Amino acid sequence: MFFTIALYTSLAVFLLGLAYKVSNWFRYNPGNTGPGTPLGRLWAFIKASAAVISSRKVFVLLQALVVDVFLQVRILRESPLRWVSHMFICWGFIFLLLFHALDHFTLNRWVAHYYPTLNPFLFLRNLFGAVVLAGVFLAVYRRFFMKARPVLTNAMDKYILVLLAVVFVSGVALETARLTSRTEFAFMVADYAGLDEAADEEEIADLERFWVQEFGLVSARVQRPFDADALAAGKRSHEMFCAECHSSYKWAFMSYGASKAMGSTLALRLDKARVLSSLWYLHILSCFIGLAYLPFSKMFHVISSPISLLVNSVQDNDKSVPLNIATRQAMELDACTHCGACTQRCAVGIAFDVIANVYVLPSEKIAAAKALAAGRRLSEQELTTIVDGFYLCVNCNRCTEVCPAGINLQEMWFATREALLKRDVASYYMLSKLSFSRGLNRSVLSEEDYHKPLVRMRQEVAAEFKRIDGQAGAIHLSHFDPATKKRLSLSLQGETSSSCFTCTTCSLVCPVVANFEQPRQALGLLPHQVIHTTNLGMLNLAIRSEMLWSCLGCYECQENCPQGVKVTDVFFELKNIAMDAFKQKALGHVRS
Amino acid sequence: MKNALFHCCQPRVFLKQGESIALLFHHLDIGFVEIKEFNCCGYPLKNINFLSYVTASARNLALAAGRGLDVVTYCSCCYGSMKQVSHLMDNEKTLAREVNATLRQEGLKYQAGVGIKHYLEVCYDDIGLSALAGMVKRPFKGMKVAPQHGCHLLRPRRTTRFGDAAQPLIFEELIGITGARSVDWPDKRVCCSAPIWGVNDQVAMGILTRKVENADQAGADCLCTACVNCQLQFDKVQKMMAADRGLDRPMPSISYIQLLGLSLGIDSGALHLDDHEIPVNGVMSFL
Repeated sequence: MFFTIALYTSLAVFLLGLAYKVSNWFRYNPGNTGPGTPLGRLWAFIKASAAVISSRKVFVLLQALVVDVFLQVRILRESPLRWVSHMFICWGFIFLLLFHALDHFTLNRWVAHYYPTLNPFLFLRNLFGAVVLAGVFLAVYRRFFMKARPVLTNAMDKYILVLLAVVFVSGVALETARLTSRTEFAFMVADYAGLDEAADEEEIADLERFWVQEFGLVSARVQRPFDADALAAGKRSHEMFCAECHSSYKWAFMSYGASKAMGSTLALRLDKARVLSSLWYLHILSCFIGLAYLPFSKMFHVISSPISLLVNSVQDNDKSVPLNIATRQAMELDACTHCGACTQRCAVGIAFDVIANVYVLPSEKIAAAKALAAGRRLSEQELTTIVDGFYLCVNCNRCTEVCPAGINLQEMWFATREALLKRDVASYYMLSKLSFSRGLNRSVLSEEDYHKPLVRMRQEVAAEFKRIDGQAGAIHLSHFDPATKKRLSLSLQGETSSSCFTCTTCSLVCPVVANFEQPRQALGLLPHQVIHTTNLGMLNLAIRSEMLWSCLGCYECQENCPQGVKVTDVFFELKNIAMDAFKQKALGHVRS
Repeated sequence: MKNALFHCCQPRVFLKQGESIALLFHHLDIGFVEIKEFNCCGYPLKNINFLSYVTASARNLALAAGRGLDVVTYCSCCYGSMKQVSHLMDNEKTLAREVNATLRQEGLKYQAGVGIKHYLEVCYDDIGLSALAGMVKRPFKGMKVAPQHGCHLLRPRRTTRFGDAAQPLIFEELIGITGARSVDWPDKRVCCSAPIWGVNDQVAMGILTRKVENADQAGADCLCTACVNCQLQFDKVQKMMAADRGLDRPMPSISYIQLLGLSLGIDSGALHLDDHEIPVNGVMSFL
């Protein structure tokens, strides 16, 4: 009764959750592109799927199914350890789901005399249970004990490892409790042996002796050593009443091993306390809770990741309808398993160790992309941190190459970044070489979308680094601040600026200056003026100049300076100081 | 010393120079090792956080040092970054201590003495001009090439030390053995403007236009780059601005990997010449 109610309740929650998650695939729009209605997207998807299945592309689909979904070659390519761990968990679980949990629908129908307590089923259940637990052990080892380039682990990662451990350990414990239980033995004898407790006492005792000897039963009623004749008699009874359904429990090596390790005293005590019953509830409930919660948890990847892999194997970015691309991206958001393979390969992952913005790491970017696509309300500070993290990416494509779920990560970053920039959440990191890739991809953006954030950034710089006296025209030198000059002694480079005697050689060799008829007008300050302004301690003036941000960093000036002023490196220092100030402002601190 | 091949982040999506250089090295019998754990050289981070830039290159050098390898690269920006960082790590104790503290978390340590080479240096020093000339099967006849080193191969000279002279001729001589002739053009050592592409496109286009016109006036048939970013500027960006700036004859640009590879007889498809935005059949006709 309980079993049926629990099953149908969890199944209902599972199906409702599944429906909700699938509906998101036709609603979410990570790239903020021409989305259409959910029904329109569903229809476009159905049409495209039908077209694929009825064409030669179906073979591509099948190949992806075998290679990427069943054999999980993408994981193997990156890490044999992870592959073994995941194959163990994945296939061990599938076998047990099909041939243990659902054995009524599978083995019971296909096999003539099916009893779960018979071999090979008894042995195989234990084998696959052991395989899953070995996989979980490897996963825990990889997440928590391996040193090289660690991955971030969140609550959901821990949840599924705990869930798997509870389900499988409780399963083993249940079988252990059952095989050792004298109470169970008595029930089984009454139901199947047709022996009477009172009349056939000796026969039952012999059978019991046999079971203690061969099957791991624990009983206080019979004492060792066992008489050879008694065992033989017990064996005959066993063959008459039990053998049809029971192979030796020694084949259930995990449970049997556990029972031996446990010892008889503990086994008897647990039998008396009817632990068997509690273990059964634990095992069943953990399975059903896992089932009900599946669509909302990381376990959903068992559905969404294969779908992402299959869709990506056949979708052609150049030919697909934008509606289907948006749908694919929405599916990809759910396909992430937070395995961290992308983070381990990220070319700028090392920057996280210094800059501590978690959104630098690809595995964390996805969570933000999902939150944004779901329309979650985020604070301005959170949005700034996110856009900065997304911008701190060199677009090297390594994350995309290693993702075992086939997610187009680099495309997702571009789409989410541009969606944020369009919403007027801009990043100061734009004023750096990190914008190179964006520039190379100019043609996919409208002129307005491309330029707007860059213009906004310059306005922000001007607003943040105002002229100290707040006026226009000539500056009174009495406004200079000696303390700010000290800030430039952050490294050996900064200090060299004081050697400058304004020969203007740097400005004369600068290719940026040479680009203009009226360089002062276009750039605000010329290189030698930036150095001089710095020496006067007026960092604001230096930083608000276009010259600083349009500096190529080509070292022409530094190479030609007769005084050994490290002009280019001083420029880099100024830019770093500005970036630091912007970060402080974003964190809500007052700039000193 | 065996070499670890260092890959620039940009080509994975655009030029596939990583594949071309592996092919070239195999052809020239130059042994190299791939270190999967290499990260970005940190060059794009210089503006925003100098420490992260130093840590990035220091980590790469630590990885190479741990395996007893030198580093060879095909991008001048990566080259210059690693050279500058190794110079800083060797000379600034406080900085080195801070960086090593971060690297220690991963069990890595920066060690001095890792050789940082550009593939031009490997060709020039390890193989030698005469040996290379001997391997040329299809020389370029009568082609004039404008060489583009890339800023960070040459400057700041104190850290890069590319070649023996203040005006090294390594690149020009290497071009010479392929049968092509390098021309001396005034803007030869000027930046390609890639660093501000995406930040200030107007200035970048101005500088790039001037350079291309300059090379054209010097009589060059094509540009030859030694840096990934320069190649992207001269190919992709020049194509993008061709219409905008009225450059009706955009100048084709190939990397030295491709120039040498073609002269050695390697197939143009394998060298990814078909992926260029500005067609290079003009270049092929000189073979």
